Amino acid sequence: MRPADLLPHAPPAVLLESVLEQREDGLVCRGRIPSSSPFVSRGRAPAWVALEMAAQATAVLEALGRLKDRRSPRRRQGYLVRVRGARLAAPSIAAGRALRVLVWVEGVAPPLGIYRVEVRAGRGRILEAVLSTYLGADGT
Amino acid sequence: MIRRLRLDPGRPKPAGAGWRFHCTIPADSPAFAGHFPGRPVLPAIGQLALLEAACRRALGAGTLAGLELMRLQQPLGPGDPLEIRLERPDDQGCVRFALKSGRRAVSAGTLQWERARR
Repeated sequence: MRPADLLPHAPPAVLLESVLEQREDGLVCRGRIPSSSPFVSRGRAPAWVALEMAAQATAVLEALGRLKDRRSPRRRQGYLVRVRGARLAAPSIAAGRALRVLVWVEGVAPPLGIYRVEVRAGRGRILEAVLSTYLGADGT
Repeated sequence: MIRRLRLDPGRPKPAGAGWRFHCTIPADSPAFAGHFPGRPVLPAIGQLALLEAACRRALGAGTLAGLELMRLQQPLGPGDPLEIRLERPDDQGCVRFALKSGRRAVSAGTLQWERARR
């Protein structure tokens, strides 16, 4: 299933294009900042856009877990409520460059979730952080 | 800077041991595109765009190199007024910040500012 089918976002806000690997404790996605993103200027986006990409990956992980319960709607609006220890290794990212987004579950007690995330370009790490999210009620 | 998502022009206003800035989140900002259809919410990175712009005005050229902590308390929507407060950076380049919309706390935390090398 494509991330776009699981996220409440629509283009150009959708920054993930596929799930590469799903594990018990996390997942790996491929993402790309589209050149149509409002955060792109002269072909590059600030590196902190990777935070949104990572937050979307946590939402995909949460939605995949919820898919096991067929009563749950597929798309639910979630909110990033805390960012801790975010380190950005570069000032900007080229639009259209393929990125790998890695997510590890630190703890989940619905509607709250805590995830460790990394965004990588090739072998280099662009972002590492711990994100806390809040999942909205059904239908939001 | 994102089109139509800008701080009010003029010098930063002194506020305690730092500065404050104001703006209104334009209802037609492209930052709302797709986030979310029918329920527009400014993404957290929209707040970071404005924070980075405020830091550049107050501290000069540089980039946002990290976030020690950012607590996001209330979402921002189209047309919301916004006040950004920044404190002076410490020796490590850490800058405390707070965003408010009217009396609502929007977000607060500490960012890492890296000055541009000359």
